[in-house]
Amino acid sequence: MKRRIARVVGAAVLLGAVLVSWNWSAEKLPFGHECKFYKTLFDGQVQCRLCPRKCVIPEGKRGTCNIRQNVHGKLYLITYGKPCSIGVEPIEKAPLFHFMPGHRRLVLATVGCVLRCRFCQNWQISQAAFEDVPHYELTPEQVVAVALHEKVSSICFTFTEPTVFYEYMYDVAKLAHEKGLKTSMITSGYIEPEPLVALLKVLDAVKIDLKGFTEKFYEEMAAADLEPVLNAIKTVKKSGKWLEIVNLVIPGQNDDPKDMKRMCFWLKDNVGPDTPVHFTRFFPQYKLKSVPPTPVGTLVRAYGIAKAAGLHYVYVGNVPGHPLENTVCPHCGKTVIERQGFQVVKNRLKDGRCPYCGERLRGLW
Amino acid sequence: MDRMSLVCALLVVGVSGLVGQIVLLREFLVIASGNELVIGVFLGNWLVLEALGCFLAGRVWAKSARPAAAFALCQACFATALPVALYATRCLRVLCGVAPGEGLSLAVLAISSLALLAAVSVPHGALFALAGRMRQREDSGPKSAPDAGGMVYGWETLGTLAGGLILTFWLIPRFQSFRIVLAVSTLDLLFCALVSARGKNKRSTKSLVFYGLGAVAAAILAFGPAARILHRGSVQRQWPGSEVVSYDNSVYGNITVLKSEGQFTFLTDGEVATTSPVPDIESVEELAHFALLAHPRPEDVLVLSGGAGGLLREVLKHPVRRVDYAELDPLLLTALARFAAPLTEGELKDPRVSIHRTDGRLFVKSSARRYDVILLGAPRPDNLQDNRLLTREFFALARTRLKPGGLLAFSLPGSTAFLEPNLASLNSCVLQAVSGVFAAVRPIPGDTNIFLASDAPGLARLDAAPLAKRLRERRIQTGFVGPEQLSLRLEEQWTRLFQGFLAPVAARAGVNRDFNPRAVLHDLADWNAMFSPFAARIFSWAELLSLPRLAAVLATLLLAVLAWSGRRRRLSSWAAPLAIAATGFGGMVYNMTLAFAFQALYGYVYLWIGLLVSVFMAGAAGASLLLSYAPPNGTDGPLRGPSVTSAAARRSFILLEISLVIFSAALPMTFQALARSAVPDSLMKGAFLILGLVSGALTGAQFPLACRMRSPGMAALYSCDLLGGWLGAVVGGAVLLPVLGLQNVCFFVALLKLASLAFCAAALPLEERAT
Repeated sequence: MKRRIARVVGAAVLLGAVLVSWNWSAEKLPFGHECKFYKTLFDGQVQCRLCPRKCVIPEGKRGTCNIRQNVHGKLYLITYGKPCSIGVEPIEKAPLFHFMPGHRRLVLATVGCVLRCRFCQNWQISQAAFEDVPHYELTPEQVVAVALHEKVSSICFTFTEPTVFYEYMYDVAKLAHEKGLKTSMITSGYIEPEPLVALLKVLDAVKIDLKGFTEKFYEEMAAADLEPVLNAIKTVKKSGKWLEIVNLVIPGQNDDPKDMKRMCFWLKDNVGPDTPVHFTRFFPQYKLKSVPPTPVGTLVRAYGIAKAAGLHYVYVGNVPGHPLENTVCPHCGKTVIERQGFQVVKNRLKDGRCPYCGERLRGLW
Repeated sequence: MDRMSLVCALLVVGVSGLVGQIVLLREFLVIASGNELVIGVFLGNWLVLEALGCFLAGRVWAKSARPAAAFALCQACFATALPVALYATRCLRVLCGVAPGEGLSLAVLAISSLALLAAVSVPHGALFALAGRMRQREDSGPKSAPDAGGMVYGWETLGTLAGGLILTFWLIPRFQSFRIVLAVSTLDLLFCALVSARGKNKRSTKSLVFYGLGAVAAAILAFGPAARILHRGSVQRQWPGSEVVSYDNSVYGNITVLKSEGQFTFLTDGEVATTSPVPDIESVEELAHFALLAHPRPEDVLVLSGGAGGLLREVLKHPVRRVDYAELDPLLLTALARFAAPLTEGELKDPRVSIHRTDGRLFVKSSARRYDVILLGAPRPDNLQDNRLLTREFFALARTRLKPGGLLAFSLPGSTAFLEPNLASLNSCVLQAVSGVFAAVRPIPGDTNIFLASDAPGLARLDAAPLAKRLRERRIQTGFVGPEQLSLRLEEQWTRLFQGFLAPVAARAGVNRDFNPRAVLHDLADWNAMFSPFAARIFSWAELLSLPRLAAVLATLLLAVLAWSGRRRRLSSWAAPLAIAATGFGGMVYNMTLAFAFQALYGYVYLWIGLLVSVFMAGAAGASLLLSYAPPNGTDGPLRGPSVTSAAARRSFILLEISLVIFSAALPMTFQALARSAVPDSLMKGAFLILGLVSGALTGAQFPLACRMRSPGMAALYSCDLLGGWLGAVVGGAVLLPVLGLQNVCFFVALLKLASLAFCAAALPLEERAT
C-alpha cells in the first residue's frame, strides 16, 4: 500500500515538474520585437500577414517560419537583434552581377524560413529552432556600425529567408540608408505585396530565387506555391528597385526545356529583357544528396533558351571560369566585365556604358 | 528425410540465406547512400524477421507430422520473394514517392527495409525451426533429441560460410544481382522438388511437379535474357531523366555511371563521387592549390582517394615531378577509363602519374617513398572505412612519409553562415587528431574547410601574398582560385568564426582515433539531423553513454531480474536463452571489431576481410557441430565434447560463459598489443585469423549446449540468438562502437556476458538430478 502511494505521489511530482518547466520555458523566451503585419483574432490567436501562408498562431506558438511567436495575443519577432550569421563577402557571391560589381557586402541573417526546400544550402539555420543556434546580440545601430567599420559598400540580408525577420531587416536597412550604405535582399520572394512594397522603400536591390516554373515543383520541392513568387517579382520590378533572378537548375526536377522557355518568356513580358537571369549549377545538397550535379550542357541550353526569348543579360553560375559568367554588352557582344569565381577580374564599363559601342548597360554600377 | 538430405538442405539454406542477405544489403546501401547506421538497421531487420519466422514456425509446426512439406513451402516462398525484393529495393525511391537521388529518413529506411525483407526473411527463418523438427523426427528416442539444434545450427552456419565465400570470390565479380538471386531461387526450388520427391503420396507428387516447374522457370529467368532485362529496367527506374550507362558491383561496392547532356556522373554506393568533363571546380581547385601553393617546391605528391575527376588535373598544373595516386576500388578507375573525357584521360594518362589500385592507408604503410605534399581526397567519414584516413594514428603514419618541410592537406564540410554542432564536432575531432601529430595546422575555413598540416614553422603564419606570387610564377590557369580568392579565404574573419564554432564543442568532440572513431559518430549525427530529427535526439542521448553508466544499468537490471525471479522459480528456463541472446550480441560485435581493427591496422583488403568473416563462421560451425555430434554416452578426450547429460551441459555452459567474459575483456588489449608489436605483418594477420576462429568457436559452441538444457525450445533459442545479433548490429555497431570506441565496446560485451553469467549461475544449479 505504502509503495503504491509512493508511486502515485512520485508520478504526480514528475508530471508537475514537466508541466512547470514547459510553461516556464515558454514564458521565459524573449518576446522580441512586435511584428508589423498581423491581425489579432477573437480567441487570442493571431494571424500573421507577412507571407502567403498567413499562419493562424495560437497563444505561445510560432508560425511556420519558427520565429514569429504569439505572446498574449500579440505577434513578436523573437530573432530581432539576434542574428546568427554575420560576415563580409564579395557581392558576386549573391550572385548580384549588375549591382556594384567588385564591391564587398556585409551579410546578415537570423534563423528561420518559411519554405522547406529539399536542396537548401543553409538548412542548418533556415530549418533550425531559434534556441538551437547560437546568436549575436546586435541592434540595428550596431549592425550599421560594423558595416561602416568593415568599409563595405552595402548590407545584404541573405542565407535564410530574410522576409521572416522583416522588422529587423527593415530597421537595419533604414539606418543603413541614412549612413549612405546600399542595401540588398536575397529572397525566395515568398512575401505578401503590402509588406514587400513597404520594405522596398529601404532596399536598393533584390535577388529573387525563382526555383522553378511549375506549381508541382514548388509544392514537392519547397512546400510552397509559385504564384506568390511571381507576384513578388512583378512588385519588385514595378517599384523600380534593381532586380535579378536566379534559377538553380536541378536535374530531373526543373530542367525541362519547355518550362524554361515559358519562364523566360514570362520574365521578358513581366519584368523586361534587361532583368539579369542566372542559371546556376546544382551540387548535391541537404536532402538531395545523391542527385547528380547539373550538366553544364543543361545550363548552356538554358542560356540559349533565355537569349532566344529576348533576355539581354543571362548568366551561367557555379561553373567558375565559364565564359558565360562574364557580362557581355547586349548591343555589340563584347565582354565588358570578366569574372573569375566570385572576383571581378576586369570591369571595362565607363559610367555604366560599354567602352566599345557606348551602349548603356542596365544596373547599379 | 534422411540425414544426408537434411544436411544438404541445410547447406542450401545457409548458402541462399547469406547470398540473399548480402545482395539485398548491397542494393539497399546504394539506395540509402549507406552509412554504418543504415547497415545496422538492415542487418538488424533481417535478423529480427528471421527470429520471427523461426519463432512462428516453432509454434505453428511444433507438432507437425509433415515438417518436410512445410520446409519445402517456406523455401519456395523465400525463393519467390527474393527476386521480387531485389526489384522492389531498386525501386524504393519510386515506391516511397521521393525524388531520384533524394535521401531517405531513418524511419523510412527502417520501415521500408522491414517491408522489403518480410517476405524473404520470415520464411527463411522458419526453415531453421522446420529443419530441427525434421531432425527430431528422423531419430527416435530422447537421447539424440538434443543433437538437433546444434546439428542444424552447425550445418546451416557452414552453408552460410560457403555462401559467403562463393558470393565474395566468384559471384559478385562476375554476375549482376538479378542473375545471382535467380540462380539461388533455382537452387532452392530444386531442393523443394527433391524434398517433395521423398514423399510417397499424391500430394507429394503434385508438389514435386509444382516446384520442379518453378525451378525450370527460375532457371530460364536466371540464365536467359530476362535477368538482363530486369536488371536494366530496375536500374533505369532509379534514375529517370538520366541514362544509366553502367551499373556494376565490385567487392568494394557499387559503381553507377549516369550520362546526361554530355556529362558523366560517377556514383559510388549511391553517392556522387565525381563528374566529368566538368567537375566541382571550386572544391578540387581549392584543395589542390592551397596545398601545393603552400609548399615552395612540390615535386613529389601523393593523392589518396578521390584524385581522378579533377583533383589530379589541378595538381598536375604545378611543376610536380611525380604523383602517386592510390585508389582502392579498381572498378571506379575502370569506369573512368571506359567513359573517358578529356579531363580524366589527361590526368590518368599523364606520364607523371602512377596509379596504385590499393587501399590508401596500406599504400602509405608499405611504401618507403617520401613526399612533399600528401593530399587526402577521400569523402567525408560516414563509415569506419573512410574514417581511417582521418585518425591520429594515420596522421602519425603519414607524417613519417613526408619530406622535411612537407605538408598534408585534406578537407571537411564547412559553412560561412553557420557550422552546425555536429559538423563542428566532426571538424574539431579531426583537427584535434592532426594537431596532436604536426607542429602546425592551418585551417582555412569556408564553405569547405581545408586543413594544412606540417612541421614547417611558417605554416601557422600562412599569408595570401606568397601564395599569389607562386600562382603567378608557376603560370597556373584556374577558373576559381585567383589572388583575390586566396586572399578572401585567408581572411582573419573566417578563422575567428571557425574558432567560435569549434570552441563550445571541443570537449565533447574528442579526438578521432582508429579505435575510437569519433568522426563517424559526428557524421552520423549530422546525417540524422538532416533526415531524422527524432534519431538525432536519440543520438545526442547516446553520446552521454559511458562504460560506467552502462555497467550501472546492467547491474540494476540484473538485480531487478534476480529479485523478481526469487519469487518465480520458472525463470531457470530463461537462463540459456538470455545467455544465447547476449552471446549473439557479442558475436556480432566480435565480427565487427575484428574487421574494424584489421582495417585500421592493415587497410581495407577485401580478401582478408572476407577471410576474417569466414574463419569466424568456420569457428562457429565447427564448434557447434563438434559438440552436437558428441556421442550420447560422452567420453572424455580431446576430440569429443563434454558429457551430454543435462548437468554436464550446464557446467560446460557456465565455463563457456566465463570464457566469453575473459575473451571479450582481453580482445581490445590484444588489438593494442598487435598495433604496437614489431613482429612481421604476416604473423600478425595470422593472429587475427586465430582470434576470428576462437571468437567464432566460443560463439557457436554455446548453442548446442543450450539445446541440452531446459529452455523454451530450439526455435526460441535460435530466435534469441538472432535477436541478440540484431541488437549487436543496430545498437552495437551503429551506436556503441562510434560512441564508446572499440576498447569500451568490447568491455561492454564482457560486462554483458558477466551479467548473463551471474544470471545463469543464480538461476541454474550446477548439480542436478540426472534425467
